[in-house]
Amino acid sequence: MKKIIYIGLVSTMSLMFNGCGSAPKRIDPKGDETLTTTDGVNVKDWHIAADKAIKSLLSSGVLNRNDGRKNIVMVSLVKNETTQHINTDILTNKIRRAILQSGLAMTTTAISANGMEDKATKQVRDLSKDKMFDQKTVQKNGTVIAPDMSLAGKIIQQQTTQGRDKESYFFFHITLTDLKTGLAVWEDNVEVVKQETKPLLGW
Amino acid sequence: MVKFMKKILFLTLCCFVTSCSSIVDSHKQKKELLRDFEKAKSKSTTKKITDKLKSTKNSGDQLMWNLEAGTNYFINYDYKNSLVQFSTAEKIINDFDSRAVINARGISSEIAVSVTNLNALPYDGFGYDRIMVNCYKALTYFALNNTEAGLVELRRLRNTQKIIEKRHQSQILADRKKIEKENLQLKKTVSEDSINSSDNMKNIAIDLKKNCEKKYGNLMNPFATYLSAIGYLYENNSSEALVDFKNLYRIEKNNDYVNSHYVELLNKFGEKIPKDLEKYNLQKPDDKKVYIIFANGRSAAYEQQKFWLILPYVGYTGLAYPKIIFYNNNIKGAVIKTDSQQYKLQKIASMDAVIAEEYSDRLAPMITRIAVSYVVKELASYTAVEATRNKDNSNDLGVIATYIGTGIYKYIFNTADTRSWELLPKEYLIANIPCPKSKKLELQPLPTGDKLNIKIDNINAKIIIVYLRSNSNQIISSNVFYLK
Repeated sequence: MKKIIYIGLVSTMSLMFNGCGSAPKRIDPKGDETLTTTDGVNVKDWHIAADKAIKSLLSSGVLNRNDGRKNIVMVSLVKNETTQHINTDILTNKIRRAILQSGLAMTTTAISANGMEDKATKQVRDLSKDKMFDQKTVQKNGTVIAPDMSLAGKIIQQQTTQGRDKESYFFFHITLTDLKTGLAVWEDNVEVVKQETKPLLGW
Repeated sequence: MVKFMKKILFLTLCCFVTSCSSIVDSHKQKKELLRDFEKAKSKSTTKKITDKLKSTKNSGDQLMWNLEAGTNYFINYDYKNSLVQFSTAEKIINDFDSRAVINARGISSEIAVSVTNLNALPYDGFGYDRIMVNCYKALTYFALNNTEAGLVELRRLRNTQKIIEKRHQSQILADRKKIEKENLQLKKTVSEDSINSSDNMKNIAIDLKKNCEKKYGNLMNPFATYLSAIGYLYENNSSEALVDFKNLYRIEKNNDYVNSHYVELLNKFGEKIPKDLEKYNLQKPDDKKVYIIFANGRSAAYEQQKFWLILPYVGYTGLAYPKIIFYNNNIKGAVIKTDSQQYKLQKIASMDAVIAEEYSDRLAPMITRIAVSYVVKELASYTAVEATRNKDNSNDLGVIATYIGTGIYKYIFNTADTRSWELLPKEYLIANIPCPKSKKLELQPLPTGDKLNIKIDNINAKIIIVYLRSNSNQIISSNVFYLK
């Protein structure tokens, strides 16, 4: 009897230590299997924020022009005002891709909030002094198109704790500015609230 | 005899599994390390900390050593490694804070406490540890030229400042519940009131008052508030900076640098200037963008001492408890000279006061808990001796062995929990000054000491932080951080 109890105990312990893991697998980034934490901005939150902003921006009509030319949009700064170290490029890249795919406007990588996003535009013009290159093929100065609009934003977080409950409120604010007038031609907010309760029993 | 051997084996295991501070208290373990620190032997200090980090990995003491290592790397300009250590420390703290209310790890530690001492509980950090981790991380990111990440840390510290008071109160409440539970095992109880009214406790209170008169309240850390204010100024968030300076003014009314900043912000928002601050209103606002922060000396720590009191069943007993100790600074202050101007640094925060406040709140419940556990253990050892006597009626050797064994065990495990972050400074002194045209600053420690020349390379930065650290005898580290 003692042996049976002993074996049972060892098996339970082995199960506890080894049986709870899972093999790595690919999951749908837009699905419900992605991990959620209260403190951080997770994959799903980026999707929620980007999807809502994109729909709102594209349906607003602010990107349309009557002169046959397309607006050029630069991606400025999405300021992280949260308590998390997050890369706001995830949001802006989703929006800029949607703008390009819509065909309503074009985006530029020649300028961004932190200088040039793709330094190649400048680097290739520096080749005008390099004898190694056929100068007829070197891009000339004065051909880069300046942006008409700028996309910027802010992500704010507010945290609340009460007893075992913890809550995080994320506020995404995105604006599109007409660079000619400096006026904000489109603005939208996306709110994400996440809550968790500390378990009563656990490891 | 076999049972007795099993018990000894169990205790030995407890000691290995919990933490190495269970027998030799933490402060004693750090004695040589801190002697090296005070003599500015950085290589030797680093080696001792690195060895300890390795030997305490995954133990209950790991967090404490991560904090010491992070500070030491920061002092020695190794910011990348400093960040690794502080990030690990923060991760451990977050893990503690997110654990289930009743968790298996907590229960196993409590079992170990019942047979050893409070060192068997993993070191989960004081409230001020939680704040200072983010202060250091912010400064480390600034040192690594990552201003945005530094600002994230400042937001974290503001959030932590809001919740530590709640956590602190719930911790005291939890301690009281444990005392109640353990007292149930005894017919006579050991109460917190009896501890509070003891002569020992009165002496501790007098000692605390003598060494540390300041009390900030609500576990407030003025240095963290000051860093937070700098962060808000960088972000052009004057309204929030005003709140921080208002709080600082309430705590430290005599700091000219805080007061002039406060008055400037009050004027900006058209608010009324308090009467005692009117003299600052006459000053012409200048471009105070060089923030000098001087982390001076060695912070208060805990030393093992005996707390004598009369306990039920046991009588007059000396319990090992952590007594707060304060260190003297040889450097009393400093003067900054630049462009024929001279600025005296002024105190913004006494870390001794921050530490003492948390200590004084936790002391009575902590000693009561030690006393109750001690009586429980004493009764257990008495039962063990009696059981051996009754079982081996004629075998005196067994009784003597049990008596000696339980005696040694009680002596060994009468160890105080002196674990704390000891490389913190004693105090923070500050000065806010205009950017010198010469790009040069000269720091003169007071009353005497070697002068230190500081060069400011990037005068175009929005905010410049000059960070200095002394080991109480000399300046051991200085650097300039540029918030662009």
